[in-house]
Parts: sequence; structure tokens; C-alpha cells
Amino acid sequence: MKNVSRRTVLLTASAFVAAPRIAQAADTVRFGVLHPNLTTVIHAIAKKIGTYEKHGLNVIETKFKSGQTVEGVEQLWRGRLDFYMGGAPEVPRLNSRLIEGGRPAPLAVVSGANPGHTSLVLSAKLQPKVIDEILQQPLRIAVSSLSSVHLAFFRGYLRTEKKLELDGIKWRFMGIEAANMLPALLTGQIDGFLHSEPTTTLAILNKSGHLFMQAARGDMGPNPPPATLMSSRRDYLAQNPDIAKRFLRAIADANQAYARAPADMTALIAEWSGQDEKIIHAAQDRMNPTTHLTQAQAQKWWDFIGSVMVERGELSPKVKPFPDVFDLSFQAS
Amino acid sequence: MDARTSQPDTAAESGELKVGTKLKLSAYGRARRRQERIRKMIRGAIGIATVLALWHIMAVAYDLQQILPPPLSVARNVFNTLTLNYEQRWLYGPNIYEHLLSSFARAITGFTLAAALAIPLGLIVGRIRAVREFVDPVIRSLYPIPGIAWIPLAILWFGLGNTAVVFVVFIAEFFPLYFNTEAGARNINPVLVDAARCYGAKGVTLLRRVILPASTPYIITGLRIALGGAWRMIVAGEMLASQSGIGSILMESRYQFRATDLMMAMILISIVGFITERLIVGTLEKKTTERWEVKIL
Repeated sequence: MKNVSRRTVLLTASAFVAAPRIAQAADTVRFGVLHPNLTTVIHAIAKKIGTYEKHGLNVIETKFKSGQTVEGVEQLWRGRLDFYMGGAPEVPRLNSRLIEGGRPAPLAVVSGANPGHTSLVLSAKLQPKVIDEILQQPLRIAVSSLSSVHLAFFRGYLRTEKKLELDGIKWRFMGIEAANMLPALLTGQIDGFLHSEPTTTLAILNKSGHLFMQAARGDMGPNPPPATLMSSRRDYLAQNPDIAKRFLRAIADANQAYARAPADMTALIAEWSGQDEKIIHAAQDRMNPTTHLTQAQAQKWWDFIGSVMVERGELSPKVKPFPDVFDLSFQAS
Repeated sequence: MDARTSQPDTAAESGELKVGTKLKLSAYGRARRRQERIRKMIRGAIGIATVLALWHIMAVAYDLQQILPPPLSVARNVFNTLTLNYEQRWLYGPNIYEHLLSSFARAITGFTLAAALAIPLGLIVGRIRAVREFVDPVIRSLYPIPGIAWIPLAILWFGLGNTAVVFVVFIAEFFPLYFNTEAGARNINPVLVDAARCYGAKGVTLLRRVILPASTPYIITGLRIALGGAWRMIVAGEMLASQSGIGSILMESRYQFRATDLMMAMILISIVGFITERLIVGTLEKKTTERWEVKIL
């Protein structure tokens, strides 16, 4: 009796020890996301429909406010995150600084999205028919920072489509937080802004401005490159290739779920982005949160944005898109 | 005054020594003062050298050059930026002098406005109890609001640009100036005031001859704190609400992950802050407290 009871005790104890291990079988992924923000909606979808769990992942999210992409990239680089999604030019910029210092690039872009393509919204007072009418006017155009991806994109557009440099036009670009763009536009402090959704739709709905150009509809050249990149650390990818693949497979499943029924996701997108459902409904035509990057899109990003950053001195000429910036081998095919 | 300042000049010997007259030092006194100055410089240099050496060791030994560039590369960057001979492409718009001038103009405007309002108000509130009872609660209730908290409201009221930043500097620097001046005016030895009154001083004469000189050490302390604070606020303001100035360089260099530029901007703020403090407050101090030989007891 005494022996049996000891065995029972041992079995019970081992069950208690094993139980949390079984519960923790899912691999933990630390994911940094912009929130509330439309660029990272795919993560909200993946969470909601349970694709992370399906692929045996326990995703711990760290939220960064809009405009804090640089903080997110820093945290990823310092090893406090495994993946980060948001912005775009910060990852190549950071890699460039390291490459300039004679070190290997620490981060890799593993996927990308273009959830709210770059829009040029102009004040209601300005009603040009074509952009050439206003390029030589002294307009004050807001961007979230002078290093904004939208400004980089616009610079790429000017160069590729108009054979012009930013210095060749009379616009003055002002760094303003996205939240301040609408009040600034309404009060006449700026003449327009370059930003994505939902800022564009908000401006349209409250009649503070009108959508003059939009990358998604081809106004800034065909097949616009991605504006949001998903990145990871190269050492993490080398040590955890299986987790990285499963993580990106979970994202691919979320892509499929969105593609099947975008309208069903409106409420979820509204909740994640902190916007009214009506606004998301109005914006949804101009956005696509699915996250996947092909080699051709990555090359397009480099040709359109990266090469201009090299010429501007933001990136070292030593930086090459493959392999210094992109590593798309972990994506689900 | 140095106890060893002997050999007074002829005016002093004849009993006509005026306030502010400088006494000549003896050879011993001069040598002693030189020695003290050299000792102070050596100790200061050792302190700075120790910090620089620790900084260099940290950066190199722990391989932190990307987040903590070694002092030599930062110093080289400061020098190259000041000589407009940039190491890397300059990504911050106008040259460094235009940025410094923008920041300086904003800091001085905000600081001057704060001084112009806070010093007279502090003197009045410090001397007239009835005014104090009305004004003090209002000022004390606004005082805990940090300067940076005014930035969103300043942008809303004045838009993005100079006025918002100047306003934030003004509001943040008003309080140290006000409280120091008010304390100075309130703590004047009543014997001084009574004595002046006995000699018939009142109104502006009393203010000019007694209250202002007696409060000056406090006002100078307030000015010193406020000017340092003005540089702190200008950077915060420019980071959020301006396209030019040293704060905007700080912000942009962070976006570019250029730690050497970031530290270069910080060092320039320190240098310009030090020089302005020396030029403005130092000169004022020489012309007031040192001349009148008044100090906080």
C-alpha cells in the first residue's frame, strides 16, 4: 500500500511537471506590429481565425504606435523581437549602417504588403487636372517624416515617370504626424499630404481634401512596389528556420482567408485599426492587407525606392537588394 | 572677496572706496589664484578624460560602435560638420549653421518673453501680498504641467512652426524665472527696505535701489535654470513640431540610424547651450550681482 501510494504520488507529480510542458509545446514568436494601424491587419486576421495556433505558434505581440517604426526595427535588431511588420525603409537603412561599418547585414526582409497604397491628397482649394500643373507651385505637402516611405515612393515616381528630382519641384515637404495631417489640412497649414489609409479616406469623408493620386490605381506608375515590409533577424532565421516558415505559413493562411471574403473582415479591420467601420468600408477598395512578396516585387521596391535612397546617401552603394535586404526563402510558396 | 586682497588702491585708502571697485591682488594672491585656476583646469580635464576613456572602452571592448560610437569618431563628425566637410551625405536640409541659428532664435525668443513676463510678475507677487493671494494659486496649479505636455496644444493653437516651439519654450521657462524672482523679492531682509524707506525711498526708487538688487542673485539663478531649460525644450519642441533646428536633426538622424550624427547634434546642443549661458547669464551676472556685490545668504 505504501509502495503503491508512493508510485501514485510520483506519477501525479510527473503529470504536474509534464502538463505545462505540453501546454507550452507551441513555439513562441515575438512579433512587433504597428497598432492601431491598417498596415498590420493581417496579424489581426491570423489571430482571429487561429492560424498561429494551427501552425503550433504562440505569438506574443508588441505594439508600436504609428510612426514608431524606427523603434520597432531597433527592438528587432537588439534581439527583443523575432519579427517586425511596418514601415519599409528602416530595415535597409539599418543594414546599410552595419555594412558601412564592415559588418554583415543583421536584418532580412522576409515578406511585404501594401495594405494602404501611397496617396497624394490635396486640399479642396487645389483642383489640378494633371500633376504637372502643380509641380512648380510652392505647395506645403505633409509627410509623416522626411524619411517617410511615401516620400521615398513619390521620389521614385518623379524620377521614373517624370524624370525629375525632388529638388526640381517647388514643393516643401513637412514632417507631420499622421494624426495631425487632417487638422493641418483643414486649417490651411498644409496644401496636401502623402500618406496611406485610413488618413486618405478620413480626409475624403470629412471633405478636408480630395484624393488626387493613388499608387494602387496606377497613378504613380504600373505595379507599385510594397510599402510595408515584414522583417526578421538573420541570426534568428538561421537558428529557427522551421519556426520562421511556420510563421509565414500562418500569415499565408490569413491572406487566403482575407482573399476569400474581404467584406467579412471589415469589422475586424475597424477594431484593429481603431477606425469606424464606415471608414474602413469606404477605404477597403484602396487597400489590400494580404502579405506576400515575390522576387519581382522586391526588385521593384529596390528599383523604385531603394536605388533612390542610395543616390540620396541614405543607403551605402555597397548595399545590394539580394542578399543584403531581402530573403524571401521562408515564405510559403 | 578674497581675504588676502591687500594693498587697496588710493581711493580705498582715502576712504572713498565705492561699491564695485575692484581691489588689486598682491603678487601672492595672483599666484595663488593662478594656481587655483590651473588646479581646477587639471581636475576638470582629468574628469572629462576619464569619461571619454570609459566611453571609448565601452564602445570598443563591448563592440557597441553602432549604438555608442567612440568619442573620436563623434569628435571628428562634429569637426567635419562644423567645417561643412561632411563625412557622409548630409540628409538634414540646410547646413548646420542654419539649423543652429533657427534653434538659437527660437530659444532666445521664448526665453526673453518668459523673462519679460516672469521677472516683473515675480517681483510684484513677491512684494505685494494681495497680488500674491490672487496670482499664486493660478501659477502653482499650472506649474506641475510639464513643458512637453503643451506641445500638442501649441501645435493646435499656433500650427507647426516657430510660434508653437517658441510658445513651448516660453511656458516651460516662465516658471523657474517666476519662482526664483518671487522668492528673491519675498525674502528681502525687511531691515533693508525699512532703512531705504527711512531715507525716503519709495515706489520706483525703492524697486531700483533695493528690491531689484537684493533679488538679483535669485533672478540670475532663475535665468541660468531657464536658459538651460530653454535648450532642453527647444530640442523637444523641434523634434515634434518643426522642420528645422537641432532637434529636427536629432529626430531625423535617429530615423537614419546614424548614431554619430545623433551624438554630434547632442554635443552641439551642449556647446551652444554652454556658450549662450556664459554670454548671456555670465554677462548679466557680472553687470549685476558681481558689481553690486550681492549674493544669496
